[in-house]
Amino acid sequence: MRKLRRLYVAVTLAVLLSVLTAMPAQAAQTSTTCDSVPKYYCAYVVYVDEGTYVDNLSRAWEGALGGSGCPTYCTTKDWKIWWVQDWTWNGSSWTWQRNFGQSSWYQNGSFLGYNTYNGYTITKPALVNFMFCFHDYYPDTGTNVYWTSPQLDHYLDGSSPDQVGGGGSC
Amino acid sequence: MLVPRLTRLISVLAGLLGASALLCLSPAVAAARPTAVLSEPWPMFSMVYQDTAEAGVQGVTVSQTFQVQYADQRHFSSKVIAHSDARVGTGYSQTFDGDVATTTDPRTGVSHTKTYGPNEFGVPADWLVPRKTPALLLRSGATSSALRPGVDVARVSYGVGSHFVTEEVQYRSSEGIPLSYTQTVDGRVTRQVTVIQLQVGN
Repeated sequence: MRKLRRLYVAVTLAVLLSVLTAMPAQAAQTSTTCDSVPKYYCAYVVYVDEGTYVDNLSRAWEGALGGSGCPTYCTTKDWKIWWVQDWTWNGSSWTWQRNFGQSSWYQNGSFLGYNTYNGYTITKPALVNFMFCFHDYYPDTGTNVYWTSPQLDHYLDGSSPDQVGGGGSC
Repeated sequence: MLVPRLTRLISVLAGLLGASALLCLSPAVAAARPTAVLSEPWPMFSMVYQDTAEAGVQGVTVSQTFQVQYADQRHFSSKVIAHSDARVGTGYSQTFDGDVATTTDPRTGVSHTKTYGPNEFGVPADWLVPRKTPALLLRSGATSSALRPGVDVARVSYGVGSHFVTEEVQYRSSEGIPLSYTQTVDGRVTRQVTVIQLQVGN
């Protein structure tokens, strides 16, 4: 009787283990990074971790001119995503995989919702980064000025994103 | 005697006029320096500043220290010399050299460039825009006043969605170089930029 009971427990555990290992990998999402209000930019990445690589990526970004009064009552007139890039670590440095390029210029004062660049796989360790570009016009001097968000780095390993640089030219 | 001299003088003058016309029409000369003719708002300077900002909806704070070398509106550079995230390190940089802006990330070795037209300008930073007065004074409701001898302060407040935002810039009264930038959201400081070192002139 005891032997039968032990056999029953062992078989049950084996069945449970096989079911758990056969379940599909779950999607993960990086923490959203934005400017400090936020009113200009936000970005995050959704991905599925397949062990040695990530796939089913959705690189999400949204931007705005600084609030509902813009562009009429502020100097920021247009914005665009300047680049979204995929990287993989080769053991000694980050290696470029692909660039999704610039968007067209947008003129929404407030956030309207995320745009996404989807697809492709990246061998782990993997990184996706974003850079936004903003155009200001100063009517008193008649000049056009271009500035950027920081580069928003999203590591696809569960760690927090980082931001580097920023405010520069685009 | 006089006629040959006059003839020679007329020939020289005609040659000079012809050369001037050629220079005006030459596309190579016209394209050599496609910059707007604007007076320089700032003298040359070198600066070190620290920029600390909330970086996301989870309240993570990022702190960076930048070194800026500024010659004029079309010649400046900025480099990250310290960063709160050890993964980033230092060296991220951007330069504006005449008509081309270049951004370089030393971790990847990749540079992005953009060429500017005559009435287009890059800036060392979004808060460090070469102007005699801060750009925030162009917003409705902005005010400026003397803070202390040689330093003025400009402020503006406005709503963004359900939030109340205040921006403040302290700047040198003489030529407008900013010394600090503070952004508060609903009474909480969410971004603080402070000039640590400033050397104006050669």
